[in-house]
Formats: sequence, C-alpha cells, structure tokens
Amino acid sequence: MIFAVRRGFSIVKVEASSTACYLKSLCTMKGEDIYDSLGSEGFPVLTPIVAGNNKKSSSSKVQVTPEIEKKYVHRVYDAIAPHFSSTRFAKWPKVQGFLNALPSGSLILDAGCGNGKYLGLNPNCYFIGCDISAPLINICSDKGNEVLVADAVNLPYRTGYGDAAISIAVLHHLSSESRRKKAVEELIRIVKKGGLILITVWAREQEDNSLVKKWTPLSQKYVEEWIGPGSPRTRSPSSSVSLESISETEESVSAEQSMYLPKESEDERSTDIKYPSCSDLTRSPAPSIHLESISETEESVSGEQSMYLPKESEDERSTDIKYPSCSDLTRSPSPSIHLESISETEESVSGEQSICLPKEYEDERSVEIKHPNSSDGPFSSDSTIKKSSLCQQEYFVPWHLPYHRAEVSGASSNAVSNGFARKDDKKGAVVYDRYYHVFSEGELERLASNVEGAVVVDRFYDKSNWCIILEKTSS
Amino acid sequence: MRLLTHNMLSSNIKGVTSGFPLRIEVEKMVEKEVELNADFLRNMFAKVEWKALVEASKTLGYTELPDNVEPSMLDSDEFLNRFHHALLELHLEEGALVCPETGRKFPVNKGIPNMLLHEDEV
Repeated sequence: MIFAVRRGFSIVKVEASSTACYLKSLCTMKGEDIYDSLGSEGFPVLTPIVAGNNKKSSSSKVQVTPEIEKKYVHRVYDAIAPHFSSTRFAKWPKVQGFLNALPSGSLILDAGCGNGKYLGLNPNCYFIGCDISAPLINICSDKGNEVLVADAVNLPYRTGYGDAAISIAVLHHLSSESRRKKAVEELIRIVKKGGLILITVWAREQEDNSLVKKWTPLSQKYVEEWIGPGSPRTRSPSSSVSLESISETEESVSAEQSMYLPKESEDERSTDIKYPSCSDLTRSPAPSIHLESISETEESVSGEQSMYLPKESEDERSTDIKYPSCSDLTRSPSPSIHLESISETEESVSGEQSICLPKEYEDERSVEIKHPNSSDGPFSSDSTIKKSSLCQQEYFVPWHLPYHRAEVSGASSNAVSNGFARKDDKKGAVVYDRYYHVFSEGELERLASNVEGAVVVDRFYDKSNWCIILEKTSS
Repeated sequence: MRLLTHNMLSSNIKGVTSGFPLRIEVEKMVEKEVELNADFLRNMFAKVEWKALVEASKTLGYTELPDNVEPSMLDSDEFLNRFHHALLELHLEEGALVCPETGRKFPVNKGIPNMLLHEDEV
C-alpha cells in the first residue's frame, strides 16, 4: 500500500509493508488530507483517530475521554476516593500563597478539585470546585463546599466569570497533548480578563530520586483503542501479550516483566495504532521490553512522586522505538521498524538522563520510508540532541488501597477480577494504577504559551512539580 | 447548588449556542444561612446576570429581588441582604438543570449538579 506523506512542502511517497499497514483506518480515507497540520518542526502530524470511526479527528473529539483515562484515572479515583481524601490534607504553601494573595471577594474556580483540599482556603474568597470524580465531589460537598461534577476538558462555566482559577495536579492525568492544551484553554476561558490561573503538574524531573521507584513506566505509548478490536489482546497467543501485572519484587533483580501495555511481535503490529501521549506521533510498538523489577512503595504524601526509569536489555532494544517526549516532533508511522539498539538507559536517580531517540534505521527496514528529518533534526543519528532528557513521561503510578478500605468501597473486588487492579497480600492492599503523563522542564510553559488569550507571568519548580501562573489578556 | 453557581453554569453540549441560563426543576430546596461578605457581593454584582438570578430565585420560592437593579443599590443594606440571600443561601438540593436549547437534564443530587456530558454530546 502506498500512501503519500506530506512533509514540509514536498510529497514523499512511502511504501508500507503489506502485512503491516496498521494505518488501515487512515488508508481508507479518501481525498482527505491525513495530515492536518505540520508539527512544530515542520513534520507531518498524524491526526489521531478515535476508535471505531474513520473520521478525521476534530477538535471536539479531544473532549471524549480516552479509555486509558477512564480505566486508569477515573475509575481508580472513584474506587480510592475516601482513602485518597484522607491522605490529602497538607496544603501546599505555593498554592496557599497564590490563593491568599487574591483580592478579597474573589470568585475562585478549582478545576479538578479532588477532595477539595483548597476550597475555602482563603476565607475572604468564594470557591467553586469541580471534579470528574463523583465520589470525590461528594466528599467535598460533605465539607460544605460548593461543587459540581464536571470535566476539566469541557467546563460547564460561562466564559469570563471567575476571578481566578487553579488546576492543581490535574493535567498530568490527561493522556494527550491536545487534551492537556484543551484543559488550559478552558482554564483561561473561565476567568475574567486579568484573571490569574495557577497550574501545577508532576515533573519528570524529580527532587527526591532516592524515593523508591514506584512507578511503572509505560515504555510504549498506549493506544486509545488498545483493548478494542484488533488489539493485542484479541490476537493470537504468539503475540505474547495481554495485560499482565507487573510482578512485585523488592530487589531489583533483573527479571523479565511484562508491561501493562502489550508487547507485540512485529508482524502483529499491522493492526495496531498507537497514539503517543505527549506528541501527536504514532508508532509501532516494540516487542519484548524487559524491565527490571519494580519495587513498590507507598506513595509518600509530601513528595508524592518518584521516578522509575526503564532499564532495558540491549538485545531487546533493537526493536524499541522511543520518542522524545518533550517536543512536538512527529514522524510517519511505520510498521516493521528496526532500529539500531539504543544505548542503554541507566536507571536515573538523580535526573541525569540519557537520550533515547530512534536512530536511523538501516538495512532491516522493510519500509521505504523517508524518515522525516533524516538528515537533520532529532532523529538523525548525528543530531545534536540538546535535551539530555529521558523520553519516559508516561507512567502508571500505583495506589495501595488497604484491604479494609477496599472492602468498604466494594468496587475493588470487581476491579481485581476485571484485571485492572491487583492484590498485594504482603501489603494487605489492592493496588490500582493511575495514569500519569509527567511534564518535562519547559513543557507546561510551552503548552500554555501555545494557547491564546493569556500570558505566562510566573513559572517555577516546587516539590517535584512544574508550576505556572497565567494571566488572561483577552476579554 | 447555590444560585451563584447556577448563574455561571451553561449547557456545553455540542452545537448549543445559547445554553444559559439553565432552567431549574425543583424537587427539593433548602435554605442555609451563611455569613455575608460585602466585598464579594459587590464583586459578584458586576458579574451576575440579574434576570437569570431573579428567575431562578422565584423558582426556588424567593420573590424579594427587584427586577431591575443599579449599582447604587449596593449601598442599601436591605438590598445587600436580599442579594446575599438569593445568591448564597438558597440551595437546590434535588432536581435538575435543563438545557434551554435541547431540554437535556443535568441532575442535581444532594446539592451537586452533574454536568458531565455523554460521548455523543461532546
């Protein structure tokens, strides 16, 4: 199958292996420009396709909740709400400072308010909170707060009503850049001209890296439709995966572990479409990623974060594709990609990071794809990659719900039998995974700067979070 | 749900151009006293869509708000009290908010509106 890739201002014809046209949805589009925009580097940007239809994604689709968020954000918080709330009591000084500095009589909107920790924090102001989790909102309401159940990506508020808005540890649960951008747009929309917005997100760059690595890196970009038809789970057993939970061991013994995301043999990739979360890339999944075991510890309340970075054996890495996570680079998707092995990524504790970018693939490639930027830019083997950042920004972060809490909730036994939570008898807890896209340095600011109608008035890093304050400039 | 909140909620269903104000269906309402903050009331006075507030108050059984207002009324304690009462002390506990264009009902339970849209409404 041949399809045209618009790159820059030229057309490059590429040939995809017939067994591996996992872009079949795109291929059926007729007369439509499958590349609806050029990314920041001038590369074609693939339009993500929502499962089940061949329509080109429009801006409204960005408001449809992807499966990974339904499963690994919404359901999890619903299940853990009371326990989660009981651990959310420490008021972060930076947020407190922001709120207390607002003029008396301000109307403050907290989008993604969780258990309502910050609602009413400034007694001279009035707060309205919203969250997508009804159980968490019930907890807020019980404390006497004015709250509603709503989606941060589609707020039901009239434009320009609020005096200020906050989004504390919310955007990192949104699984695509377009959704994160939409959430920022909404925050700006709902405040008045001159209104201030504080946004905080978990940072990829962690302060305390000695905290045990509790996170499960999603080394493959998940697929929005990955549990749907055509997904690895419905394929032959030889494709060697389905969801297996990560075995929990305390020592970092190198053990083959399966990822929460499917490992697929290459020929299975043909029907798979993956959507990276931090850029509009698609890629074919890499098979057989081996990880060191992940030791799990309780999420600490203060730091709340630690990074676990994948360590892969070199022989496996030959088919591994990684993408720079903090840029808007895109590339054409290409099945059956063979890459040179990427130099081993040291498990980084201090934040020193190695680059994991695909190198030019060579003789093994069955796809005659002209790699965008083959001669220059980040994908070039000679590229001068300035960012020495790990690509890893997608994680499952475990939440340990003690058995006695889980029983009260009731949802947990269903969760375990459905496979999206697991039991840890040693810890006496049901373990849920929460999806996170942690932000790299500068990413939040770039995201916000790309939204019209507001300017960045402050940015800072605090307690392993990237933070930003915006001021709305439009009316 | 207080009428302050109602005054800022709009139906965000795809395609709807005038989703405000949402009609109120009352099954249960309560009154809860809360301290008056004049700064806040003055701030809100500039934002509030007055007609919608008056209508909503009447739906909840409060008819003391004047139909027409002007800023000078803020100097009157009596006005401030009424404004305060309507804005912050009347609660819709059970009922629904109805999209004026589509008729779609957003439920309100235990004073909490659920404004989440279905996938086909986005």
